[in-house]
Amino acid sequence: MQIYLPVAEISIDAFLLLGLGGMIGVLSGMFGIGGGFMMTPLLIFIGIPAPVAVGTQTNSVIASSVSGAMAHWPRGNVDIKMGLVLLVGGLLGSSLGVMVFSWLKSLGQIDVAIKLIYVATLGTVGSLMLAEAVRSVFRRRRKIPARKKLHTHHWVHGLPFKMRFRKSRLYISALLPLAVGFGVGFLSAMMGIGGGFMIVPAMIYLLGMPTTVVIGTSLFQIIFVAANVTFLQAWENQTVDVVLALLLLAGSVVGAQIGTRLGARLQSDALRLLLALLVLLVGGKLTYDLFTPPVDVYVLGSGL
Amino acid sequence: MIQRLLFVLLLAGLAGWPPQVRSQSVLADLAEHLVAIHAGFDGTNILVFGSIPEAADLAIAVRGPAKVTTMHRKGSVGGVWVNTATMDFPRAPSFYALAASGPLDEIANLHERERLRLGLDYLDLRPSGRASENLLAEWRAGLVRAKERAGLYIKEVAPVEILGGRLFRSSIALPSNVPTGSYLIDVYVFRNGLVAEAQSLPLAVSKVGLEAEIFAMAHKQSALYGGLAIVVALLAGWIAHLLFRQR
Repeated sequence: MQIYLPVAEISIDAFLLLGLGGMIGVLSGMFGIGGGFMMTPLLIFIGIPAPVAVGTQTNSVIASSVSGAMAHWPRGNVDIKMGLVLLVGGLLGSSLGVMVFSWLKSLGQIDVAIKLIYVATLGTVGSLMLAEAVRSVFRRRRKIPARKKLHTHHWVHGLPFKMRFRKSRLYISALLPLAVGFGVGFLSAMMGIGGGFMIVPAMIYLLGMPTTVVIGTSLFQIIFVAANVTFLQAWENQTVDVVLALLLLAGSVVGAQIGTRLGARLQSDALRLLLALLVLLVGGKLTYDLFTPPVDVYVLGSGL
Repeated sequence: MIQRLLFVLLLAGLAGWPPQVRSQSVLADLAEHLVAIHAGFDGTNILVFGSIPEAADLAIAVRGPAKVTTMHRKGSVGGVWVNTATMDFPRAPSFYALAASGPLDEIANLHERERLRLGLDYLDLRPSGRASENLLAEWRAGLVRAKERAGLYIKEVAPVEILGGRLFRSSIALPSNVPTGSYLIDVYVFRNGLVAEAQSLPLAVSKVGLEAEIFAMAHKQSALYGGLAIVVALLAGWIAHLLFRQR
């Protein structure tokens, strides 16, 4: 069943979009991630113009993080203070991201820029995840208990503007979460994702937050960052297609249910290894595309 | 369909018999003057029909509204293929398709085709910037190839059926990604390779219904559209949460 997407201005099979949403939903349910970083490249692969893929994907991120955050809220897994500080950085970073996005779009370089940023982030995060997963698999095999330091001191702990985050049991400089929020916000705006796969590791390893509050807090701040990006993309670039967003959402809501059940049966180490390989696979495909000579060196600029 | 047939018959009655009435002129019309792009739009065919003078050849050109067409040339920068040059073609038709009663080379002489901009090799592709003739020829060929790949310039010439030497009909396909705007369908009658007569028929291609409203709002009231997109997503997320909780 073909459906005409009013902003993307192409007609595409509605079931293909529902299926894509479902597939990403399964992955996001399994791995506990938003899955935007998989969705945007897939949308580009099936022929949605890259700027529309990015703008629209951000719109569906709002919905998935709302339902995620609502599930975490009653369990008290949201550090609101930390979320707000991250959010301030996130709003600034994502606004700058949309500005850079518009600028690159006017230069005609946005498609390449989106792919390059994907390659860089997917490559980095994928490799880190793979290394971590492989290490933990080996640790389990050899039955060597992981060493754990109680408290470490780095130069970051000397930064000014210290703040107490009770729920996260942290006393750190506010500059740190601000910077994390800013960086991830900037990249999410450029990539059209929530950025969960970047901000979660950053919260655990850079900020040292306890894992229990990380997911809820990140979802909480992603709602607002994604809303900011959606608004700015719609306003500045007219690249948000609500029909496309709703179709993807409908699929991913159902997919996430299946994914959560599948995920419960798999071991977490194996799951992380799988996720790392998946991230690297998507990154690899994009890298391959960037280096493959095009069918024709003359291409139409996206008329958007 | 029955309506169309009746119309053709009526027209045949008006223009075809008795033959001496308007015997030297072309009379053409479209079955539909509006192509409506709705939610389920998956391309359509436009039906051109009418009568022509006896023993004449016919060519029909479908031109989409001229829109600034931006072309990029890709080059390898450190192995990565990026857009290295850009050129705008302000007069390029957004869509182009042809139908003819025979091979174009036999119907029309080259000079005439050039003058009428008939065929993909003769389109008005003047750039807004400057470039040498050689380079420009490459850009133009590149533009035509790119538009062909997008399905917006149609290389294959559609057939024109001629019935009883006087009546013609032709069906020309519009793809699902057809650009919107005011189209011109030019019907040319050729004799001995020269244009004897011509008639222009306007065709409107526009979005209708919810799609049209969404598009208009996204472009004209962008801020409000952005706000609504957020509200819709928030509601969708909330509904998803309610569904999830019930299971």
